[in-house]
Amino acid sequence: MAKDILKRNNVTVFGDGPQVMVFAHGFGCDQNMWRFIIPAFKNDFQIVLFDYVGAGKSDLRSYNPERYSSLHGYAQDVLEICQALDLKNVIFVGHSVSGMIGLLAAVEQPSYFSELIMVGPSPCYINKDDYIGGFNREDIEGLLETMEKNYIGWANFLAPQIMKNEDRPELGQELTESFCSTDPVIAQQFAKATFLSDNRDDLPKLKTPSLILQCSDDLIAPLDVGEFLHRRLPNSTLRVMNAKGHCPHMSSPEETISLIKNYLGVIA
Amino acid sequence: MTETLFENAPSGYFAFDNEATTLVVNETLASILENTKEELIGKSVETFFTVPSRIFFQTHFFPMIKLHGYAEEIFLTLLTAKGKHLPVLLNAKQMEWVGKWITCCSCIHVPNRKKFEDELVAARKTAEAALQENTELLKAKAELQLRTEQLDKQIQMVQIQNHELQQFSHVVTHNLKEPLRKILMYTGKIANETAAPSLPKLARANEQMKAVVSGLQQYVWLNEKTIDYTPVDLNALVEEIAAQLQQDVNPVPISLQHNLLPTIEGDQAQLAMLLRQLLSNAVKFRNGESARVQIEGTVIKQNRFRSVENKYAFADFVRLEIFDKGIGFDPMYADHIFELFRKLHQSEGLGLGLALCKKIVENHQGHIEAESELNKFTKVTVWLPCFQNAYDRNELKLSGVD
Repeated sequence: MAKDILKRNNVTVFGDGPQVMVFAHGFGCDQNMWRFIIPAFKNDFQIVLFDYVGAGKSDLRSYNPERYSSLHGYAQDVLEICQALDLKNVIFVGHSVSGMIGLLAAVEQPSYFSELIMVGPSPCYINKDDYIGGFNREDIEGLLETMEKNYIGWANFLAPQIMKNEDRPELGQELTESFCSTDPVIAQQFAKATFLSDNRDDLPKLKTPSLILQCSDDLIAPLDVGEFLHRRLPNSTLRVMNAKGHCPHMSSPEETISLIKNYLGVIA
Repeated sequence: MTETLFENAPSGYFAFDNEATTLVVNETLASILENTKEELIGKSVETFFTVPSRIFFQTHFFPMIKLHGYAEEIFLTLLTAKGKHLPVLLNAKQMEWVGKWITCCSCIHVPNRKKFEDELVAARKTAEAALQENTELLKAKAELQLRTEQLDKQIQMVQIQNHELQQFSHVVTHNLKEPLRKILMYTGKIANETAAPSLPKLARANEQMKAVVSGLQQYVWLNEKTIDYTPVDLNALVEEIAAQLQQDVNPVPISLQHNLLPTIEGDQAQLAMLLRQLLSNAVKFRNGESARVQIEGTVIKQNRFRSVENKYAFADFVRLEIFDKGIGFDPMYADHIFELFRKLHQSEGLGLGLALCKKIVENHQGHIEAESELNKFTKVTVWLPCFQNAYDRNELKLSGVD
């Protein structure tokens, strides 16, 4: 069972050090996105990397539309990986939507986590009443359309999704090389689960201390959202980065590394 | 000369750095964007695109460039200064230029290809939807058939077991109770007539047996009684029960701390019994003079399906953590303490309380766990669904984002 889960989520474990760090990728990518960050931690920590089911080199046959229709299904992936590796008190680093996935997991099983580090998180992407998430519904529809257009080049784009891949998971793999998500339908569902989620009510439930790494000038998680999170998350630290955009761990790895090390009290 | 060719090439060209600041733009792109080169250089390259394209840029395009060094045939939509949306195909490459990493892109305007692709996507969607519907219907039908058969078998088994249980409970309540009553009566009589030294022991054993029988009766009652679901205010219930318990255990002071607990759908009488049992355990197994109990309730989402594999419906559950710093128990017994008549301590009582708790929780489609460290603490965690009928609520909407 544990073995199945490690295979299902393409879990990789390496590094030296007693304290475990779990790195979780965001929407649109896979564990490779941590490539520029990991070298700075692997000598002092045990590193756990994985792909959510449907992303990267995970086992597509395990994809269950019911389970992954909301972020709770993705949080189950995180919890099951912790269970499979018998992990407690891990430092969880989540990019983008993985900030909230980590939060849901930590609310459900507080003992698994000692720190949550969220890179560019947002509890709700859509503007609602007084809350400014940054987007409206049409923007998300537009994103889904853009995604569809970009998946058109895929060899098996015209093949009906539900019939393919079930017995031949390797079919999607060549495409993984270009996009990190392997299947247009799954990618669309992840987009919906991500951008239509609203976890604002879950924020006060978090007991685990957290670090919010907020980029300056991030379209997907604007500064107001970072401040909102900081106000609602008990025991949180907000650090506004010089890095711009939504992927500081790729655009400014040095700054990202030093802020994380600083927060964890590791000499940078 | 070459520069003129570059500026007016039949494709738009731009380059930006890691911060997404635009470094180079050719005339063709400036005119496509209905803008001037001077205006565009220095601006964030993201501003060239519509919002959906900017999201795609951040979540797909940028990671791809960083991880692979290039990206090809990316479909994005430009946003011109006058607000027009222009579909473009874009190739990009990362390279080193005057000492820093930059991303160079060229793009062509593809309005006709977009129309064609729109139709392609629409056709595929229609085909997919029809096929999906069909496949899913067939799958659902087969599954339904299988489940109905399983359900029928299970109902049959449950009926048999229920019948046996009823007979058993009849034995317990009548056939055992009556002789027991007589034994008690005659023991009392004999006690009046003679003064045999073992008589008080016999009387005690009898009393104990009576308690066992009535405990069993209670357990059986929980099995048979239909559950009456109403909204139960856990906050009020906890306080009410703590106050009652305080009167019963005076002068032992009970200090109860709890956060604001939600209202859930449940059987008021059974939930009261559950909380009373858990609280009185905390009092009974206290360490020292006073009993300090903490209750924390958190609403979390859990999968309602607990036995059927690969079925998911995430619904609201309240997680109640009842924590006391009492004498605790050896953690090796954590899996057994909910068994009938399982006693870990030499104390009054039958070892029935936690079995009743488990029964009540299971009657509500919840689950219960306990952890402890000897002489340190006990924590009983109960998960109860907030709503008993998922389909009355918005949960279907919650689990399917559409």
